[in-house]
Amino acid sequence: MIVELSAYPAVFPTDALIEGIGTTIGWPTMGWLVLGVLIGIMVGVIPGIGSELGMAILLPLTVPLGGTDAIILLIGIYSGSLYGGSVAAILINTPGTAAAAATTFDGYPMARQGRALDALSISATASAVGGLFSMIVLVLISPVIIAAVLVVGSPEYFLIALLGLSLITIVAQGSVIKGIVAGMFGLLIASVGVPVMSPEPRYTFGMFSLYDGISFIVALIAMFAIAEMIKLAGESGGIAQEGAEMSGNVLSGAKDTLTKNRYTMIKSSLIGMFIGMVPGSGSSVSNFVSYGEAMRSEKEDPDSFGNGNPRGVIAAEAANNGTVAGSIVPTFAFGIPGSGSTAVLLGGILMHGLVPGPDLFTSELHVTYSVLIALILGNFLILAVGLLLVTRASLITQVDTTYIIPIVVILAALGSFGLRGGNWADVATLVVLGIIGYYMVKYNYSIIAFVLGVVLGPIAEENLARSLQISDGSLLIFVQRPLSLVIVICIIIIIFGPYIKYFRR
Amino acid sequence: MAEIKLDRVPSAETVLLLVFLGVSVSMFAMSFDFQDEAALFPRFSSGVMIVCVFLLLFKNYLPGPLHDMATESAAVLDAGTDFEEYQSSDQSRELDDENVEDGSKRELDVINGSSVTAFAIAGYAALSYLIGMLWATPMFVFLYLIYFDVRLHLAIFLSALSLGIGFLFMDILNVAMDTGLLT
Repeated sequence: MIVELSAYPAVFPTDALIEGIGTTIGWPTMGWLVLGVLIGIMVGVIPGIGSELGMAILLPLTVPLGGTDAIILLIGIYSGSLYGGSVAAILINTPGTAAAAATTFDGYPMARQGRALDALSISATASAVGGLFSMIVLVLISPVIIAAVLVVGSPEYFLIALLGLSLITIVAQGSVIKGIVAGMFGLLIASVGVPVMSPEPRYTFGMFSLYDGISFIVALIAMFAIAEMIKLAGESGGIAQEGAEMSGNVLSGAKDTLTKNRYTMIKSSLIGMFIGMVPGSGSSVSNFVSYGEAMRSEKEDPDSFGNGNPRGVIAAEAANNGTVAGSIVPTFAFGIPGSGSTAVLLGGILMHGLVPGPDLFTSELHVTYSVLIALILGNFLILAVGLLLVTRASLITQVDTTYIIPIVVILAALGSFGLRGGNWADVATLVVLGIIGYYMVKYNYSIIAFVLGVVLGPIAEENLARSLQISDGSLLIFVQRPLSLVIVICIIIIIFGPYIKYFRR
Repeated sequence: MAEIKLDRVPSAETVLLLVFLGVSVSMFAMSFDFQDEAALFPRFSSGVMIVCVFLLLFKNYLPGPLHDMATESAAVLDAGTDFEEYQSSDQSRELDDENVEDGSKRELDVINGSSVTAFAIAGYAALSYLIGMLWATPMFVFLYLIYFDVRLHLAIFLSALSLGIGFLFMDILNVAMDTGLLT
């Protein structure tokens, strides 16, 4: 991604925004958005499925679609699933996705108090409005983001990739060393094939099918679909043994959220948005951080948290949908995924010939705005579906996962095989990485660290080679500009910070 | 001198670490066949991985700070709660007490379910290579569901559905999925 400096945008890019709006509200783009949000809500509701899996197995099927339609479909799934995860969290105390874990703390007690409908409508409203607010903020600050992206050159891209890799040490759940092992494993997987700087293939064993390397998308499908299905097979077959009691009031829940708790909702949305910008963190982190902040700032009755306080549900749900906006920034700007779901989204972007970075903020800016507008509209859809269909929500939680597992496996296998025109190496990759991924999840080796390694390794290697070509081999190119120097300092702090903590004890 | 613990059988995590070690050592060795520019990243990654795997394999014998790095979570954004920990806690799921006779039986069910699924997936891939993925798909679905005691009519319905999905993928991706090594 070699970049030339260009002028900062002097005014808000309204032309691209209008073109983006026109694209999004047209047909069939709007249809793909609606379908994506509905699929997302369904995959989010069923525990063990989630947005990464839903997006990963549908990714190969987006091949015939245009780039914008495919990205909007995928991002609709992402956004919808973040709300969908709250349904099972509230009704049966089992979050459908990691992003809804904190929702169980107060959502489930509300359901047990006969206020299930209140909790579900609060969740739908907080998700929709929280997501909407963060998207609007993102659109308003987009000129600043555009300006930042345009000053980044190859040395900065290398350093940003290195920064993303170094973040493995602090965002990976599990020990630091396990996170590093997972990240390095991802880097090694990404080194298979013909590198940019040399025509000599690496680790192909003479197999032509490996000259293009191991497919990043197949690796994601293996980790998010196959590994999860193997794990799910070891858990109880039906999550909800019987339907949950649906009592309470839909409208009062929504009204209270918008009137009495709007400050909590806005604050949580912003927390989610800024956490989403940190590569590797995502909504599984933001919902806990936001919940903790809401509890900390509760002045009237802090002990009510954990016992059915609506603010607990609002804080978690507004944050997890707010994360979507934040996670788009590193994904679109630098090709660095903010979460597992945005890693799959990145796969979709690359698969459709779009390149993260300056192009998406200059010549293809209308695509970026299409996605943001789609997300804004998607939040209205989440609100409508959440409030209108909430009384039927308990049905989905009763689906036996034994039926789902083989269907997900075949979707993953068919998609992986067909992605590169019938490549058996991809099928072998799917099986091997799927089984390894299962054990990685089981023993707490961070999957997101692995994903960061797979994605960032090639970016770092390519930009390192280009930067050294520009500077005739001098490493000073990485500290000559103020931006580069700041990134280098951040990397040093992130890498050595944990060491200081441990050796201080 | 630290007391040496002998495990009766290597745990699955130890096997995983040995797999990582094998992969990283091989890739490190093979990197010396590449040109310097092409060798830099794989050599660096595999070298770091070798060191880290050894640290994890011998974590019980490491001094304090290193042992903490190998065992404790360093995540600064986890707000004091680990989702995996939360999932396995008593609050995370309400299970019907009648279904849990004793811990050992449940653990056996967990192991069998995951192991069978892993083997089934590997078998599905192998069968696909032999006879074509389109034909292997309904067989895999049917046999899997029958093994897990799903009702016959549902198994037949889902198998037919999976065949339909196979045809859909063939049509959309325009890839021949109905031929294998033997067909």
